[in-house]
Amino acid sequence: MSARADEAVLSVEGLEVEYRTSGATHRVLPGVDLTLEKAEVLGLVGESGSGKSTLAAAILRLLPPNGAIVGGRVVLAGDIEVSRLGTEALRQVRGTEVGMIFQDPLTCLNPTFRVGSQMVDVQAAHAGRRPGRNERRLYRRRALDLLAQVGLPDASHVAAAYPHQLSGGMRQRVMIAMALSLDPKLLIADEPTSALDVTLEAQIIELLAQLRESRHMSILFVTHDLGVVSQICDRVAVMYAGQIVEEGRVGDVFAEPQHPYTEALLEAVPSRALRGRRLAVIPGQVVAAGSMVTGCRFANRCREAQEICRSSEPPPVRVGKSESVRCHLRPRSPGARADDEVAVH
Amino acid sequence: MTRYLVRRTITAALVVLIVMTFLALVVHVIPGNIVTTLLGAHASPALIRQANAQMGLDHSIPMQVVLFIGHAFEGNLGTDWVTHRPVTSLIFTALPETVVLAFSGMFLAVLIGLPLGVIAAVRPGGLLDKTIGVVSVSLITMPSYVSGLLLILIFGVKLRLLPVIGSGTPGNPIDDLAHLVLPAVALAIAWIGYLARLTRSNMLEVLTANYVRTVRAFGVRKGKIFYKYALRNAAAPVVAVLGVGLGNLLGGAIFIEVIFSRPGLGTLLYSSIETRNYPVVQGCVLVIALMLICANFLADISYRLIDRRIQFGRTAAAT
Ligand SMILES: Nc1ncnc2c1ncn2[C@@H]1O[C@H](COP(=O)(O)OP(=O)(O)O)[C@@H](O)[C@H]1O
Ligand code: SF4
Ligand SMILES: [Mg+2]
Repeated sequence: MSARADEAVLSVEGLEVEYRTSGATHRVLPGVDLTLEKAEVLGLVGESGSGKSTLAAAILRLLPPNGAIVGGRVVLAGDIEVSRLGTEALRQVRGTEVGMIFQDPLTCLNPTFRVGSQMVDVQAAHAGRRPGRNERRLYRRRALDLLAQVGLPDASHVAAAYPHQLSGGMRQRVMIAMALSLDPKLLIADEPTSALDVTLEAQIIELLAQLRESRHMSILFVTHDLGVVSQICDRVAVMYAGQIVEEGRVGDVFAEPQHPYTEALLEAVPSRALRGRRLAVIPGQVVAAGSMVTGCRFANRCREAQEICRSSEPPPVRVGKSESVRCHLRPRSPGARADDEVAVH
Repeated sequence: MTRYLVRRTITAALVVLIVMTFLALVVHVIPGNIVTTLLGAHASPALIRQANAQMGLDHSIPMQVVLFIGHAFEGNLGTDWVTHRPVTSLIFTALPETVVLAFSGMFLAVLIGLPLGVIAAVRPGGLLDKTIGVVSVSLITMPSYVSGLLLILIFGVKLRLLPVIGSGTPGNPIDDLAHLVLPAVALAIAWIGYLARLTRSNMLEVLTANYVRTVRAFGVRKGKIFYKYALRNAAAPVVAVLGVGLGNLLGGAIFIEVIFSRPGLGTLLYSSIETRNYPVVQGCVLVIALMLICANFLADISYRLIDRRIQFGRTAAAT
């Protein structure tokens, strides 16, 4: 475990996050563990509201003002403990250790600045001393290079444009170029293609896959699209109501899902048709985020739920080829077969 | 665009027509004939007739208005009854004074109000924010004639720090400025409060925007985010509001001039009413009406500019 954490680009340990809303606090992440190795792409999947963006934002302490990390820790590159960093140290880590791109690149780029000048400012922020005109010219040239690298050959036009003058796909490429300008070891991509149509989505995924190859970059890829996970990710972590309920290699998890939630997600989808496939609709209501639950959070929707599921929380255990599964009924007891269970219901 | 301009022009023409007709009616119905007031009760009928003719009062009211506007198009606003100078030349000396005062007020309002709002937004809910909040709200509720009188009392009468009468000796810019300070402050006070509130709330809103989160995520310094990125976005609506405020400030300047006895359209109008100098009154009213129409036009344009941004944002987000 510790040897692995040393290697890890990102290690999230028991992370707890709360949001305060009008007096009440909601514990949206009840204690999340997650590890990302060097040059690995991890897909974080889960229904909308399961806490994916909260986790992504908490890694760099970018939670909204009413959110707070109340437990656990985040370690970058084996030895940077994010929660211990002072303001200035944290600022220096942001962007350089971890780059971030978001779902809606229109609202994520400042409408009143040309995209080139935003890219220059991002580089200048990590220059150490106040950059002079020469440095800024350098940053500009670098920005143009990167824009070309991310598939925007008309780089100088793009750099001179305001965000609204670009298409959604171009804007997301600009965001990627901006992230690359600081050469981070880890890229967090929070649903970077959800605002794009299928063709553009495929292009952006392709671009990220290339960059990952050429730069040996790790990517935490947040999505609710299983097809995207199968295309680009090495491993997958399935999130349900703030908890990672199953984690493992994509091939293993998709071929033999262990957790009943993962099974339900994948069930309706023939494996060859994963591409572009949004999460299947599962009957029942997800437990309200942050509500106190004794027992398994999936119990009220799980077709296998037993007495024990409602009384005690299942711990993460290795099951089959999956590295970690949170379910009392896994591994299955030798007598029971999946077919029997389906027949019962 | 052309349709819009045509519509605006027609509205403007209608407004001028209504205002001038109203003025002629007022002159007609207020007790005491202007000419007899001017010439005294014992003037000869011939003199009275001549005076009436000179001021265009010998026609029916609609005719008076039509003739006045017709002459105005030729650049002729009549002749000052007292000095016999053309009214246009009186107005041309007075108008710049009023405009300068209005813009000085606006300048001060931005110069003080915007930074106050920014400072308040640094730590929302903090002591500084609360203090600025209370001060701003008190300033907003203070009418400019009240603040004008207060300023005269405090700085002119009690402390004797600044001149409070007139506009200074010609050719002495420092004296000019000294005379401009208090009237401009009086004019700016409510706007200072208003702009401080507006800037503060804009800043706080902008600071929660996704594009601010982006630059935070990339490690841009807090000061830079605040003063470069956020301020620029927060200031854009302020500029638009100033377009709206110009008319308000010009109107306010007319009152402030009278209080501070500064030369300008307001004092010109005020003194000509006092002396029943009808041609000057008429000219002033026309020019003030035109001035406010222009200011409103500016306001409308600036609103449209904001609107386009908003609409644009909506359609772009949908695609
Ligand atoms: N600023 C906030 N204040 C209160 N609750 C929030 C806030 N942001 C997110 N939440 C809640 O936290 C939960 C997780 O949200 P989020 O992390 O955005 O999920 P996801 O990205 O998986 O859709 C949701 O129930 C959401 O309503
Ligand atoms: S612990 Fe029980 S309720 Fe939860 S997933 Fe497993 S079987 Fe279903
Ligand atoms: Mg999200």
